[in-house]
Parts: sequence; structure tokens; C-alpha cells
Amino acid sequence: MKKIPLNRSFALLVVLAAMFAAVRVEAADYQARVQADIQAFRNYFAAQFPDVKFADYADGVYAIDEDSRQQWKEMEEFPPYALSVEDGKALFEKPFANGKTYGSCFANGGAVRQNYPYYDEKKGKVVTLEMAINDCRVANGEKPLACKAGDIAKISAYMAFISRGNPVDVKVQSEGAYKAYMKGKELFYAKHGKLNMSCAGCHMQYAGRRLRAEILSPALGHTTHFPVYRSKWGEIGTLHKRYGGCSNDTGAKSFAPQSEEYCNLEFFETAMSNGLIFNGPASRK
Amino acid sequence: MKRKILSVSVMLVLLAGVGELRAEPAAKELIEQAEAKRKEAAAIGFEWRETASLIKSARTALEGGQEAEAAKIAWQALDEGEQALAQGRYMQQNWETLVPKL
Repeated sequence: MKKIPLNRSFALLVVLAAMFAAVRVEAADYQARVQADIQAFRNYFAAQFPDVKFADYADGVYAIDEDSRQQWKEMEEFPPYALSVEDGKALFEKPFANGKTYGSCFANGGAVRQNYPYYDEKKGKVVTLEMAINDCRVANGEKPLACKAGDIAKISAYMAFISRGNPVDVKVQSEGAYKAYMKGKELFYAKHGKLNMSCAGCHMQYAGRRLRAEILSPALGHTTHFPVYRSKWGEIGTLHKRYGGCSNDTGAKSFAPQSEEYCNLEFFETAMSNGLIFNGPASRK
Repeated sequence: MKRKILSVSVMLVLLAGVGELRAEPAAKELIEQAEAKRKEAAAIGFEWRETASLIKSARTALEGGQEAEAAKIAWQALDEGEQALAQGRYMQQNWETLVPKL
């Protein structure tokens, strides 16, 4: 083999080191930008609700309204999502036609809620837990499930339940991930629909105030406790079902569940809740 | 006399032409315009909830021979489409100004 001259080897080494360093700097830079957003987000709510502990935001609206919290605590003695969790366990363990189960796709017996959503570099998109459940089904020759409620919400509820207590830790460390994060951020803050409203309008500016009979929840901690059994729905439903309802309420045409738009929004919202713990499923009005 | 008749005839023809130019667009044309605007707003993620159903209602009215009703609904759909598109274009450029500053 022909030897490369020493000075050329050294130059090549310097170039490689510089490229490596550039990649490391880039990853750190994106995460630093996101961390700055996270800190600003937390500071906003700390100023709005100075008596609320950071950890309590995982309980959503029950963190900021004592009467609602008491009612919810009583409901938690016999939580309405309990049957859905049991159904979800049975579905998780039931073999596909090919003999495999969801356990062949998800490590740790399915206690992986804390790993979602994440940005998949190969796929070039955000992957949510519900999307991964359907990917598992398709990979095993099954049809994907509808993404708003029903079996997918039950399986997600079971996986969320056995993952409780794990921290939210969304990473944004590449250009692709940062772009998805920024698209989610844009959707969160931009006004949409005939009523010209935004997620931020209700869940930051007006968090804690009443919208008709309901109290608007703070956006901090929004995604930690999904899927939820919502009394209004009479069943357990996914985060993207809730997103669709909100879009609808503002007079905008809702995006499809698991659309790029809602996946990016979930990515942004979950990143804003970094440091809280996953505590789903939950019950809500 | 002949000149007077000719002048009056020319004026009548001109008035008829102006009247034609000032006529409201036909319902069919309005529906097409509304659908185009709806698609433009949808392409940037800002379609409003009711626009598609308004266009559908306008088409149904037109198919039922209710030209005036179809035009009225189509105008509403077109207006929504234009507002949604303006909203979307504004938000694409200015959403960051809505992020609370601490």
C-alpha cells in the first residue's frame, strides 16, 4: 500500500477533527436554542402562577385550580381510564397473525413512553408513540389502527401507564430535528381559523381563565399525561384527537391525526415539558 | 334626424356593453374562485373549517337551479378563502412576534 506523506496525513487529520467538531457544535447549538426556549416557557408560567410547583404542571389544569384538583383526586380513586389500560394490556400481549406481538417492536415490555416523540433522522420526521404502534403493526403484516381513539388509545394508555415516572427528555440535536421543532413552535404560536386564535392564546395568555364553564389549562405539561379519558368523549382518546378538537374550536380545518403538522406540534410541546415526568394516562373533563 | 337615431343607437349599444361589464360574476365562476382560494389557504395550512362545506352547498344550490342562492354562498366561501389566505401569509411572516418576551 502506498504510504501517504506525513504532512498530508496530518492535514487530513485536522480536516476530520474540524468536521467532527463542527457536527458537535451544531448539535449543542440546536439543543442550547431549545433549552433557551424551555427556560423562557417555564419562566412565563412561574410568573403567571407563582404558587404552583414545577412538578405539578404534569397534572395540567389540576395544577392551577384547587377545586378541580380535589374533584380529580377523588376521581383517581376509581380512574375512568383503568378499563382502557386493562384492554390495552390485552391488546399489547395479543399475538399478530404472524405470531409476534408488540413486544417484538418495543423494548422493556412496552415501558417506552418516555422515548417519544423523537426525531427520526432516517425517516426525516418526528415519530410519536401512536405512529410507532402503527409502524409495528404494518411491519408485522397488520393494518394500521385509526389514530384518534379506540384500540390505539388503549394500547398507548397501557404503555403510558407502565412508563409512569420516567422523565420527559426530548432531544433536538440536528438540523432536521430543529426544523421540525420550529414548525411545531410556529403552529403553537400562529393564529389560525375564523376566530383567529392560537394554542398560545388559550394556553399561555389565558391559562387559568374560564372559557365558558371550563378552565384553560397551562401549556406547560400539556403532553405528559396523554392519552386521556375525557368525560366529554366518554372514552379514552389520543393527543392528536385533542389537537383536532382545538383546531376545530378555533374555526380552522383540523389536520389529520399523525399528520406532519400535529407530530411537529407534539414534538415542540413535549420539548417544552422537558424535566417533568410522564404520568399518563389521565382523566379530564 | 338620421344622425340622432345613429347617436342614440350607439349610446344604447355602449350602455348595454357597460352593463354587461358591470354584471356580477356567475355562481359557477364564483364557486371556482372560492375553491381555488380554499386550496391556496390549505396549501399553507390555514384552511378554515367551513369553507369546503360552503362550496359544497353552493354547488348543490347551483345544481338545483338556485343561481342567486348559489352565488350568495359562493361569495361567502370566497371571502373566507381570501381571509384565510391573508391570515396564513401574515402569520408565516410574523408569528414570532407573538412569542411572549420575558
